[in-house]
Amino acid sequence: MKEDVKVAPHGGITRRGLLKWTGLTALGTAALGTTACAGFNETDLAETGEGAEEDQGTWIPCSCWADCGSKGFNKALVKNGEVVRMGTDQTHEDSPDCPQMRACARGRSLRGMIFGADRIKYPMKRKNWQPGGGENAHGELRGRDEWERISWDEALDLIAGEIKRVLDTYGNEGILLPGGVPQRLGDFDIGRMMYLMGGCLEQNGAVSSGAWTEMAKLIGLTEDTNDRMDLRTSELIVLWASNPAWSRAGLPTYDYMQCKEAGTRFVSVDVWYNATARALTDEFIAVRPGTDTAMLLGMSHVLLTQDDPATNPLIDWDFLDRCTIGFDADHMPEGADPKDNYKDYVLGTYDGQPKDPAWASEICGAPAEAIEKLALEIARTERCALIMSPAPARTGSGAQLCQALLSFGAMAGIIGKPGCCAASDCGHAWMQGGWKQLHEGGTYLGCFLKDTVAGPEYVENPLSYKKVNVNQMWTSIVNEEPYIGVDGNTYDNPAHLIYDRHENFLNQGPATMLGIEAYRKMDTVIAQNLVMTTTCKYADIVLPISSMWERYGIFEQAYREQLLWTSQVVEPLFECRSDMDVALELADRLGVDKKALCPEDDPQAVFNTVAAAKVLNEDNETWDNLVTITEDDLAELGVTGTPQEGRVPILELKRDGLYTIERTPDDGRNFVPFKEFREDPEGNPLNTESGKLEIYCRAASEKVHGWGFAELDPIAKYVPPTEGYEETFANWETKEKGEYPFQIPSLHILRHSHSTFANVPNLREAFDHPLYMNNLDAERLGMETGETVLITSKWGRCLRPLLVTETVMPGVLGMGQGAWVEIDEETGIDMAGSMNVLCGPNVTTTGFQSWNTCICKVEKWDGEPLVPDYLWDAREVFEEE
Amino acid sequence: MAQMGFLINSAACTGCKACELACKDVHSFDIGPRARIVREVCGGGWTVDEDSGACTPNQVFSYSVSYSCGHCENPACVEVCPTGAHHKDEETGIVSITEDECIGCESCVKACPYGAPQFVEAKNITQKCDMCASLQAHGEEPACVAICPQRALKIGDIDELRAQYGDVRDIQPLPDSGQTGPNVVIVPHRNGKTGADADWRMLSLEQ
Repeated sequence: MKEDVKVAPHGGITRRGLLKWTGLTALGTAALGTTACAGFNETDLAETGEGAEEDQGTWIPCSCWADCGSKGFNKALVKNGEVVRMGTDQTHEDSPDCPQMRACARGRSLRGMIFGADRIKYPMKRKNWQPGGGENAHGELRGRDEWERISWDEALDLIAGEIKRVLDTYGNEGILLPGGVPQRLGDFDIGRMMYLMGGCLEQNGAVSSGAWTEMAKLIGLTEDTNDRMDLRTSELIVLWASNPAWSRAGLPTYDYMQCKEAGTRFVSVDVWYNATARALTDEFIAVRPGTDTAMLLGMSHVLLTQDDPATNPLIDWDFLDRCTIGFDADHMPEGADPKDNYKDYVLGTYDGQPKDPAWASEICGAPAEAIEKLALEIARTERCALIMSPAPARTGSGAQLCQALLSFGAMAGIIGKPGCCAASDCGHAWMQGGWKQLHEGGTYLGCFLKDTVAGPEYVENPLSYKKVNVNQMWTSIVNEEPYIGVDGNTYDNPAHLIYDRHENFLNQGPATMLGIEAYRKMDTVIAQNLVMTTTCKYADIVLPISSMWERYGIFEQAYREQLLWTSQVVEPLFECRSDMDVALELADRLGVDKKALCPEDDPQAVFNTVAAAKVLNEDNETWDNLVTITEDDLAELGVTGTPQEGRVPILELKRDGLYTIERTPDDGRNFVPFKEFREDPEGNPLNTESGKLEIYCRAASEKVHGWGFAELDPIAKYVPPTEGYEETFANWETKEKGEYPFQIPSLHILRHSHSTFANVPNLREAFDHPLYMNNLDAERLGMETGETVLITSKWGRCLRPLLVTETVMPGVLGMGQGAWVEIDEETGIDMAGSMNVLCGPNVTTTGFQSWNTCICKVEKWDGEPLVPDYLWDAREVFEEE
Repeated sequence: MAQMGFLINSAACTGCKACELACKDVHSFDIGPRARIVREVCGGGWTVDEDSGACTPNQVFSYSVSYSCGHCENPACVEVCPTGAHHKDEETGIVSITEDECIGCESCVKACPYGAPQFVEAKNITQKCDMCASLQAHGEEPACVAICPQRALKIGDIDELRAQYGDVRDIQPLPDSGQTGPNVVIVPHRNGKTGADADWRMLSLEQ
């Protein structure tokens, strides 16, 4: 319990410190010139400070690198070497067709993270840790030990020594880089160095897309929705577990508003009446977490039993016949038992259980009438889009859900037609709607990837086939159990050294309490970051890393229509260095080829991708270079390259930071996924085994069997998931509740993006982080808004203030994910309300993480009530010297 | 120049608080002062079928209202300010504080029914929304307006706003507009509640 609440009078880094450490970079000044961006005159509402010379100020487009699934445009006004305030997109007039890419609350609070008191300022070492492993490591003290400030040289020597020792003793598999979980920054440096040394263990399966990652390519239904202009022609949009106002802050909800403006009716299907529903929805249907498949089966049953091609056409038989396999006995792949088709499963022909709305209702919680009404409305609407977030695919029944969405969508005939889709809206808003048809280029989340246009050559991890499944990561270490690799083989986990590069996996992977045990078994734990995340807190050596504001910049894609070039805002703070600097220093010590590790410096690497970027011309056929480059520009940027003609002068793009492709409703760019396939499935076969959409998917079933985590039927069957609704009962027949009577999904919230921003006091103050509970449940338990409650799952316990609300359905709770674990060492209770303390490492069919199927109980807390977390001390280890 | 006012489109607002944090940013506020606050309310009810356990929502709703300062006709802050630091601009009707003249007595903080003036401990003065006067002077929109992803906030001549968007000034959980006459136009949410007997609760820990 934080009893001594101290509020830093002005939080953050002192003004003296700021002036000492920040300042516009030489290159920034040169390249940006003296002209402010986009016709702005500079204004300043903050103090300019004593004796400061008058500075007109300069706007610098600045990065917001958090993996929120969306994008906003941010710029910083730098005056006298200090960032005095921020701004957002004003590069062009705002209109519904061509909207400005405005920032969100988090982007606007970046100053609170970058200049916060809790920035890691110096390299440091845990006091009782010694290199060499064994008892001298005092692993049991991780997370509770004291810190010593050390020099960069000492830190790097210790790290290089330990990497070498562990490699020699346990092989490359002895080194674990838990990647793949958002808050990625620096994936191309320490990881690349390890790949060049023969590889390392990594993590697999913790992804936004849940089961879609594997299932999409097997069943053929890609994670893609229609272009925003096309969706304006929809008569009905069903947003299923989709809350873009929270999970895709920025343009997506505004785009839906244009649909509403154009007359589209909206229905929201979710565990709660969410913030997007508030602005859009005409009707709300509640569904329990992990039961969406049951509801879609019930909806399928309605269509099957009420359809009459002549008098009541509900099913698109033509589409099912031409474009899918497995719907009925006449459309089964060769070798499959004709009885195993979807239609007969839904009707209950062979198992005696019709999957009718009454059956579905008992599981999913939506009234049978609502299930029937929704099914009929979708089937009878000419232009209907059923858009899901990936949240239902992040449940124990996620793989079946992907199949169920495909099956119902195909029946209703809403795939591949204008104004129609049955789709998951993908983990990232900017990857939707066929963006590759409008522009080419830009990195993904600011990171180079294998397919980055003009990016550096990609180096594979030679051990990627041995990636450890997210759900077995900690059990394989703590219980010394074998795990199943990506290749389906079984391996022991010999990890002795964990090197965390911003992923904060201990906080963001399931079963954090088990993770802490695993951490305490390691010889050595290294973490590098801007701020003292959970992984840093439980590490032995922590390195201070520069933020993206302190580096050259990045060139990345935003939504379908924007390319974003952000630049350096300030010099690195304190002793912070970039991830690549660290990798190069270690490479020096470990004998890794530095040229192979870092083929080009940042200015050249970024320039290469900008120069290669292309934009589709108005003829919708030919492509223009994005930028014009002159010899003078090359000299100004200090890079080598070839002059070229393009849409905008390169220095103008660097100054403005944003290129927006202009759109109109009739520009012929209304991308509709599967349109060509629907028109001619033989001429445009999909990459599935049959070339068609696979309602019956043998490949999925076989692939899942090959892994051996669990079994998956070739068709969408409802299988009660581990820690699903059914498990909240001691007796399902009598409906007697069990030890863990509540379901609790992990919500994506606006307070932070995964665990990034979770330390920023202004965001903590603005956004509550409560346990949401339905009013009927609260009445029954005698609980009230504001009281501290204890939440217990099979995996851990945490405290939260309760917020009673009618917006969440009975029996279901809600809590945001991403809060930084704060374990009370006496009780083992997490004070911060971190969802992964509650979420279990439950294995799933394709190995994805099932964050949204978790069960728990809630009790009154008779200990000290929680102090609001915006008043908690910052995790500041060493003060500024 | 005419009286300026805010358009607050609660029907389009999702409660994302970009406006609130943009306001924090332009004032460089740490925790404590909040010159713009997004307030959220919710209500409705549920019917749970005893046999099937099915849950039917009955008029379940939530909505949000972003509010900073109404730049009122009868500003309570101006009335109680002992030094005259608070003033209402004769041309624009914008209510602002001359910081040099503020003694940090917090009379205005207590007087304003909307909680608009914010005491800033670090400076020992009160600060409040002035519609980002210095940004406007340079041709920029107020920070809250410029960032709103739903385009739900606007400023303008209050008469023109009222002619276009109507004359609603009251919605729960805001106080009765009759006290100070705020120059705001609210586009009420379809579930917007008014009046003392309306059934709703705050969707926030602060009740």
